Amino acid sequence: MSMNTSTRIRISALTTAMTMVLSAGAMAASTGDQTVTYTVPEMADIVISGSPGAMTITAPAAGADPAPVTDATTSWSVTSNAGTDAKKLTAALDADMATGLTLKVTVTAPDGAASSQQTLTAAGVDVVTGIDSVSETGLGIEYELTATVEAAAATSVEKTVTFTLVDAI
Amino acid sequence: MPQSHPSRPVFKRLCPALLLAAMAPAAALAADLTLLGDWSKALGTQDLSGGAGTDFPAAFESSATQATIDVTNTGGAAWTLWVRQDQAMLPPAVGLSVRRSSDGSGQGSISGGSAYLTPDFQEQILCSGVGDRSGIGLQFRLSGISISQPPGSFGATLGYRVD
Repeated sequence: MSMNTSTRIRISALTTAMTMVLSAGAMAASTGDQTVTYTVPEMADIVISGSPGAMTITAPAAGADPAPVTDATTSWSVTSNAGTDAKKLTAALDADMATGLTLKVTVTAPDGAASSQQTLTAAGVDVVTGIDSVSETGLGIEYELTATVEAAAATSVEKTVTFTLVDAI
Repeated sequence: MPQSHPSRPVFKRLCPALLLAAMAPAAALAADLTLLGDWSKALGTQDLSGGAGTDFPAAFESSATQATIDVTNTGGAAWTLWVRQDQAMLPPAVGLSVRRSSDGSGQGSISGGSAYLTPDFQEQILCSGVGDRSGIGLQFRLSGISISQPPGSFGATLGYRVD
């Protein structure tokens, strides 16, 4: 074999090796995706802390109406994500009060909402309006029981007040 | 017979070739990435931190191995696992984080990524290793979900890459 032939063989082999290295030069990477999702429904939830104690009307002095009796021992809590002014709180008695008796309630409103003292009846009444998305606890409830001389004497009468969080519209 | 000087002409031809060979990139990593598992969570009043009157807790976590990753076909080479966030539809205050919750199995090794990482649209290193690993655990965390945000469906896609 001539020296020229041997040289050509060596160069050819080296060129082949170099070509193999260069052709493998692109970086090979592998990829993949994952999805994370969550859903939140519209939520409007309240809880009432408990029931007030017995409210007793005391016999008045002659010529006077009985003094009102109040109870502010209960409270309510609310969570809503329904949006601005989206909800209101209503309250209704299970049956109207007897003649001469009136039960009123003042419910403390959460931030951004409004409330005022309302007379409770079986028909129901708005006690808090304009409730935004909110989460607040321990909002006060104050009851006031009044009687006139027309109220009949009674040993014990129980009433149920139902509070409901509803759409404002 | 003509005279020959085998070393000089060969050296002249070999020298550029050797330089080119030295400049060529090292053998490339052709690892494969296999992902298993996504995470989907339906929230409701039962998820409030303390019932009515309270908000959602600061964060929700998936199970420790909600998803897994296999890194294979590494040929025993070192590798890096990158992660980024794609296609996010999340309220501004909500963050999605991911962490490596287990080593998986295999003859290689793995390190990094045990603390939660909040990917953004730029790739970040989640973890790295040497050699094939299977069943590497991934855990997710959603933070900042609040009732002050409107109801709806939200989510994001995490993109992974190994090299």
